[in-house]
Amino acid sequence: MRLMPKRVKFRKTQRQKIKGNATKCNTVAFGEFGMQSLEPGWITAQQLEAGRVSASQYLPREGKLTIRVFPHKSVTSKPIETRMGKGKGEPEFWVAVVKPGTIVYELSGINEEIARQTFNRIAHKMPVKVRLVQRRKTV
Amino acid sequence: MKILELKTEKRTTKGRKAVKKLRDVGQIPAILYGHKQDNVMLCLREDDFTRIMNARARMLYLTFNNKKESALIKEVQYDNLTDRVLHVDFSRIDLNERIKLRVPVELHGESIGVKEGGVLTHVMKDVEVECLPTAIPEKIKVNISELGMGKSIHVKELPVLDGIQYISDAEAVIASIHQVVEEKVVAEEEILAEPEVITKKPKEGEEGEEGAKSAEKT
Repeated sequence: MRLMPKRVKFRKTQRQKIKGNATKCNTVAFGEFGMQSLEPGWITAQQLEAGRVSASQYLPREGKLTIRVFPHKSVTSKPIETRMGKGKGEPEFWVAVVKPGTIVYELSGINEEIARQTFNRIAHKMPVKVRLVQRRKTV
Repeated sequence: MKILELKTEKRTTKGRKAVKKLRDVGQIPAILYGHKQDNVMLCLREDDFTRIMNARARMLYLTFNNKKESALIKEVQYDNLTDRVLHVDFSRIDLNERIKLRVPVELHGESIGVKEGGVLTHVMKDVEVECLPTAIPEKIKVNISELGMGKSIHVKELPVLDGIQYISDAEAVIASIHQVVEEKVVAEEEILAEPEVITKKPKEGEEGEEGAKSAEKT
């Protein structure tokens, strides 16, 4: 499964700065445990997929993984040994922009120990520092 | 559920900078409202409130200015990055009036469906109930050991508890057991495809062809 939009308005995007903390997608919504980003950064579609695969290899059957982010942003690059100029390069890969506080993955149907070990495996694939967070108690 | 007591102080300061100063000295800004009385702005010690949350208390006796009022914790705002409590909303409650609130649902036992190879999905993690403030259940335990493959538990099948009425939709699913869905293998052609560009202008040649086609139709 390749994570990429089906339709876009524009093929190429500007890079943009990542400012502030996450104000949405920052609470555990679907599962009991979440993996929260502690740094701003770009998570590529390949990294998200690698995380999903490593989790699916480790998780027991009853465990369910949810990916909370989607790579909406295209990143372009110029071919090697090309002179500068002649316009922007071609889209190479797709990334999801994460801010500190963004929940990247969620897990349900398993206990805390397995969730911790699963997220530990995923964390090795991530380009940002992450931590485990739990769903908040009902008030 | 036991009603705990929480010491609070009345505050007059409000606004972003003032509450930030409060948080810096280990206090949490709070507000008490309801029952058509004036709102009271309060502040409370962070460690006192942590103790209350760890005890899973929902109803409290708030003390301030030699007054004691019974209140329900209505909302707790968190800083999702540091897990610190930012603000607490309390609602004035008469101990004799019935109140509506959400109570967590806890599943117990290993179901028949899971033993047969199914996957348990806990859809609704809390339900809305109506009860007296003195009889708020900590959680609603549901036994799922009899739940077979393809079956689900609804709100109407929850255990009947004294003085508690379920407000959530009776047909809403609490938990269900279904078979494992295998992931589809995507063809390589699909993987390599680029996304469709919706603002893309048609090339001159294409436009000409389209124009010719439309002319033929007319």
